[in-house]
Amino acid sequence: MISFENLSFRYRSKPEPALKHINLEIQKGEIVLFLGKSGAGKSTLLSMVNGLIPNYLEGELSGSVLLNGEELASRSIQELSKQVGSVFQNPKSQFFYLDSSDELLFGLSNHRASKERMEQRLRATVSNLKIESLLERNIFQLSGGEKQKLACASVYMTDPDIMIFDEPSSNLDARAIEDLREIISCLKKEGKTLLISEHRIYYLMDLIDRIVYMEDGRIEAMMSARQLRALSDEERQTMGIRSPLVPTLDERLKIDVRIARERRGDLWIKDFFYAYPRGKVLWKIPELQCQKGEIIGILGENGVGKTTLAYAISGILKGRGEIKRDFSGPALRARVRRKICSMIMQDVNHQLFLETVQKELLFLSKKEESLARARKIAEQLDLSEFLEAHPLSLSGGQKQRVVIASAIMDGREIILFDEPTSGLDFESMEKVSELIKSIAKDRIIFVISHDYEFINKICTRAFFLK
Amino acid sequence: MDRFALDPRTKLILLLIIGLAVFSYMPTYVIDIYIFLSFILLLLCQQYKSVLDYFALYCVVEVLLFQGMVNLFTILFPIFVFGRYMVISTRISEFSLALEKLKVPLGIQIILLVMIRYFPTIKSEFRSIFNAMRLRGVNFSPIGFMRHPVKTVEYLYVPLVYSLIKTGDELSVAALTRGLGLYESRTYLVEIGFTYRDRLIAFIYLAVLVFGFLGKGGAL
Amino acid sequence: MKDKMQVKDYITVGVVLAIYFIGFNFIAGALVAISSKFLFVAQGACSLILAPLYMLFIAKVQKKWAILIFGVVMVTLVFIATGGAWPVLFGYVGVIIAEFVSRSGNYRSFLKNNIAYIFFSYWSLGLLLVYYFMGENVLKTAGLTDQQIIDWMQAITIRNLVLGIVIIALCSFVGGLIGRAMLKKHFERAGIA
Repeated sequence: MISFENLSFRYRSKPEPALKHINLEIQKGEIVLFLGKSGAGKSTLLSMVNGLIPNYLEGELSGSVLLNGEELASRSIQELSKQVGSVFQNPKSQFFYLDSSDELLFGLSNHRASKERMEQRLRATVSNLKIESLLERNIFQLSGGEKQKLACASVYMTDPDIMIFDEPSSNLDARAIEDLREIISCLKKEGKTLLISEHRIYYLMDLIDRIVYMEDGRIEAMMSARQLRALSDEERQTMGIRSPLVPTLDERLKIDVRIARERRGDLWIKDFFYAYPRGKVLWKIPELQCQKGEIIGILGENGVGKTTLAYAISGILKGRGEIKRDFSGPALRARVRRKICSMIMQDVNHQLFLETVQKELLFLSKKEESLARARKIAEQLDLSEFLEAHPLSLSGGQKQRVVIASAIMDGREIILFDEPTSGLDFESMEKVSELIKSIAKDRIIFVISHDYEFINKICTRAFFLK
Repeated sequence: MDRFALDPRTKLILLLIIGLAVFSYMPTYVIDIYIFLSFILLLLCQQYKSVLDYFALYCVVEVLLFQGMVNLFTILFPIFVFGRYMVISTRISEFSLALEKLKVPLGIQIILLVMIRYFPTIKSEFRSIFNAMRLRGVNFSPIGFMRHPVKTVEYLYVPLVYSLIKTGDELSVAALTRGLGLYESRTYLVEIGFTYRDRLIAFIYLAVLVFGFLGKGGAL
Repeated sequence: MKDKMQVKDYITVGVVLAIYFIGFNFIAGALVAISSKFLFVAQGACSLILAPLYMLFIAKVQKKWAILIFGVVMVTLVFIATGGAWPVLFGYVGVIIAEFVSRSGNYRSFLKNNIAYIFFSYWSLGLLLVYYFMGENVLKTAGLTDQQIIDWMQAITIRNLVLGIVIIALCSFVGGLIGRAMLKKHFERAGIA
């Protein structure tokens, strides 16, 4: 159905080609999983199918992509959208409307579908994908998982033969991933052709027909799910592939925040809770004691308030209750906490505001003594070559490291991470793990994450927020 | 939502009627009538709490009638309250269809829809960036602002504009892959049209306007 | 690529216009709330602060009619938002001039863009002009006594209008310089220009 013939492509702004002589055939109804390290070319390849290349992203193209024997490159993105649907990884920026029902109808509206067809597809979508609870809702009030479901449903509405997924599970928790799995299973039953690019692969293992492993713009290997499972951990990790097993939390990490085990420690959180202005309590931590050198995982479903907890601990939001340094001492007020805490947010773009990485690091320091220190920290975090670059021009992982470097420079004792591994491949996840472990000494680190593989790797303890 | 549905185009006309009244030197009681009418419309949309708030605001402000600034309020308030009614009572898809019927070109429709969609986004992005800055140590108190006004604005400006433009690009990609721009006009499931309600309300508003003109001329 | 406005460009207009709109309301609103004397300065302040946005917009969308569309939609919205204050429509003139001035430099000449921005900013003069054309009406509707109206209207003079015009021009020009600096320092290097 889709065939790539000797396809090569180079982005206009990059010197190296992103795709090199790709030859691949995909049959109708196949579910193909694309794996590979970041930058291997997976997204680029998928962008060829929905028309983003060459119509939106510019560059040099040679070879061809054929859909049912017809050249794709000559068709517009919009025209292709009748047959190819795309679901992207960032729920925030996929929606054109504010109301979920309006959003569902968007595609058909653009295709000039008749009212009957709209009603028919709406009924089919609601019953097949089970999204009854998502109708007529304010998109801003949906959780991450609900948003992604809505995105899938909206694309499904136009009944495309082919659907492309670019890292759809990036920001989702376990339950949302389960819902996603259900949807993909449903799509498979309908005989749709699915092209999925992913890092977190465990939920797809028994749905996929084929795995295409890419590296450096080429197809290096093709496997079946069974063959992937048969790889040794070492082989798999060298290829940069995450575990195909369902992740579970390591039992030894679980702690109960109702009773603290000891009464000593470097940070004590007691009767800490957050309430909305109308009085409803979001969550409560009766007692938690932490020590320096600890990496504490904060887990829980989407929407339970983990980010709010991080904001409250760091003093940005007013949490009620006490946080103190030791059991008998005075409580640390929010203003004080803001000076000793630092947070690496989900969207690091919100945290970078100076024109060079170096200035970003030196923001709170007095220039002279600190320059050498800043350079050293930059070196430790692989940022030396970017010191004069604009922070916002860096890749996601690099931006993350700049914020971490700033936190180190500012001498913050408590560092909170909000979903640091969203969308990262195995190698990057490893790097972040090593980095966090290395800065844990003399600090208390909190990590919010859905990524059990990651939590198991780095945390000393973890608890569920309810 | 159970509402007293009016065609979006009617609401636009009503807004212009109110504007005409305000700018034509109407006796104050006419303006008050319009404010009162807007309250009724809001009540019909079950916006009980909003009406209470607005009424309280109106009372408080009118008591301090002797400030020049207050009177600016009196001019803007009727428009503001009606504007609120328009926003609450109109679904974006109805608005979209109204634009289509008014033969507004697709490009302009896109601009308006994106603007509407971005207003809440701007608020939330701003808040997040503001918090990030606070945590880093940027001083937002009035004193801090006085000392480094330019820098403080720059610190907020850059991440905000970056974030919004970037999500704008992603939105473009999403919209294109869902067919936006394939045809110049689109189809809709919602329906709008002029009913007895539109005629009734338009009549009332026009009647008040005429009443106002007569009052202004001293005929009453 | 094509010289015509595409979906992506219209979306950019929407995004920038949303920020511009909110920004203007916020800045002007805050200033006038502090003191009504700031009435003549509010438009200048807005031109200054919002200039980087405009500069970014031109850098990003270098298509024919982009400025015109941006300006026309904005002026029309302000017209509707004020309930139909017709002096605002004078803003169309400034917008049209801006489009052609910028176009004469292929949307790339910084000086021409800056001058274009000055003309563009004059749309906000329309808000002031409301007082000149309809001032007495508006204030009477607001319930001011005749004496209060006379006091208020004392500020509405030709001299002050000229002052306002000059302030807007100055602020726009300076704003344009700041905007260009921001472009170079931040937006271009961050990859969004």
